[in-house]
Amino acid sequence: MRLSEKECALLAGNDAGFWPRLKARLASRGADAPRPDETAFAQIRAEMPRFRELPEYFAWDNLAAEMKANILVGVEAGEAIRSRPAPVAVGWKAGLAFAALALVVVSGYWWRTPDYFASQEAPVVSLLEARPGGLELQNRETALTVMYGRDSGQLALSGGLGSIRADYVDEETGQLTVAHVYSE
Amino acid sequence: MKKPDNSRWHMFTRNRNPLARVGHLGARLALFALLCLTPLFGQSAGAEAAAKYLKFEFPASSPLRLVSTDWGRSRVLQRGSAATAELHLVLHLENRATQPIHGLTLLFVTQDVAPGGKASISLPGLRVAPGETFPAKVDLRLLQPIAVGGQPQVAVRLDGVLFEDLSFAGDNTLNSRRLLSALELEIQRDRRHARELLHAGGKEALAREMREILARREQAPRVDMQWARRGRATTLPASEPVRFAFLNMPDSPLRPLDASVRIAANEAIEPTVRVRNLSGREIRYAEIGWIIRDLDGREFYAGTLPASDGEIALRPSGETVVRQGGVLRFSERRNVNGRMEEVPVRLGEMVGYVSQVQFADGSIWMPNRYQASTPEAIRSLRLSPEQQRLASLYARQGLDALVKDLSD
Repeated sequence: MRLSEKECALLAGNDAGFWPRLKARLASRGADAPRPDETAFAQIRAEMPRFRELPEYFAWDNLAAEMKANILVGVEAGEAIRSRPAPVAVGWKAGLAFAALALVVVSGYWWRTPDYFASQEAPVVSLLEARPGGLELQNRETALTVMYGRDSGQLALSGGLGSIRADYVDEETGQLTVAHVYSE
Repeated sequence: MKKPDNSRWHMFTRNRNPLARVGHLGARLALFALLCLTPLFGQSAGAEAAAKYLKFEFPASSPLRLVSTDWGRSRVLQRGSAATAELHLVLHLENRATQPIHGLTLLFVTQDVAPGGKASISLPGLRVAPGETFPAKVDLRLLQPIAVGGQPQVAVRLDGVLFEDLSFAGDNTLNSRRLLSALELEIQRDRRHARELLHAGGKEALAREMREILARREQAPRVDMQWARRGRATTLPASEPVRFAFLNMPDSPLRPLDASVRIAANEAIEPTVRVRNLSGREIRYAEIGWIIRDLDGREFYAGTLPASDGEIALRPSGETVVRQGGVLRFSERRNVNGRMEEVPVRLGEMVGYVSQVQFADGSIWMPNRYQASTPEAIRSLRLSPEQQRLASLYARQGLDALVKDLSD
């Protein structure tokens, strides 16, 4: 059974787990001398205490503070030169445009009713209209419509003198129907 | 190791411009306002809300009883500053009289839409036995600004019922008796002609007639008509009064002596007719039919206009001048470069004919389209309502259904 290089390193530092240690014990049974890589790792381990003895001027706290400062300077310097979209463009101009759009939408719905903002002093003009689909009386902002199917056949329209008429055959019931709308 | 200070971290990403902050606030307020108003634009309520718009006023002595009302797809829709009530209802009515009903007129009156604004639905050609229940379909739409306040209410009344013997019951405020009687007269003529065709030429002759009616209906231009009491839509100068022709019928009790109209593009302004009573009886009402020829050479039946404002009292050999106030406009929907658009009909000539006369005794004269002396234009250009109904029945349910209808 052969130990890997990583397992050898762990064994040399007494950091190997149960299974690598068992493997090492089985591998060393019957062997006269330890393997070369195990020997090399053992020598490195023996020299480790020497590296722990650092000179007195080597202060870890000072080094940490200096590293932190460098990192902060680097981050802010990076932010300063990073390109970004002009923040003003998504600011008050967009707000103004959105408010104007909202105004247009609201006004559009408001003005769909005829003559809503017309002067209340405007003369009353009744309009009678006959078209495929309905007879309608329009009067300022109000309307009264008799509806029928667009394809209800030939419409015989009769009008004048305050009324308008349509003769049609109802599409659903087949019933002959005469509709009138009167303005007076 | 500490995290970097938050305030310094965001220093470059946050906008320090105060106007921008105002802009953000404006955008948020606009969005909020839009969200608040959105439900108002499309708010709709169903049949229950629509039912509040109608008030049925059938007197206890009425020959009809309202059995039930089916509100169907009725709804009330609020859009912007206006409320629209779409009333699609079927009234189930019972004949409480002792004889069959052949026609009726329902009157819908609202004071909110216009002073005296009203509409009516007449159902001619009914054959409803005593005690029988039948449906009456009504489709109405009311548009009113919400700001006016209060919910408009439409009173539903019975203007009158025409019975089998042509007697009439009802208030007759809309002259429904004359309308239903004239329609009944025409319906009986059309049905008699169809039966004669069936007996003389068999089913094939009847089917050929129906196909001809359907073809004429398809070929006829679909013309929209507007009538305004005053105010013209075009700034084009109107012509001087031009005389227009009349189609004379030998048995007509009324003869047009001269007639004129001013024309501007698609508008006919103040048509005026001078008529003489040729009959030996007093005439109370007359109606003039109109046939229009446009500048493209097409002819179409445009409709009828009453020859008088209300009733006239035209004695035998008497003459009178009747003038229609207001403006009549004609337009049609045409395919223009792949899009359906409303285009004015450029009026060329107008031709008139006497389409109905009512005498003082209530009897009615109408040109008989099946008489050889009736001008071809009247016979071919105008389809009667019953002709349309029979042709529609043939197209939908076939020849056997039509034959059965004629035998009833």
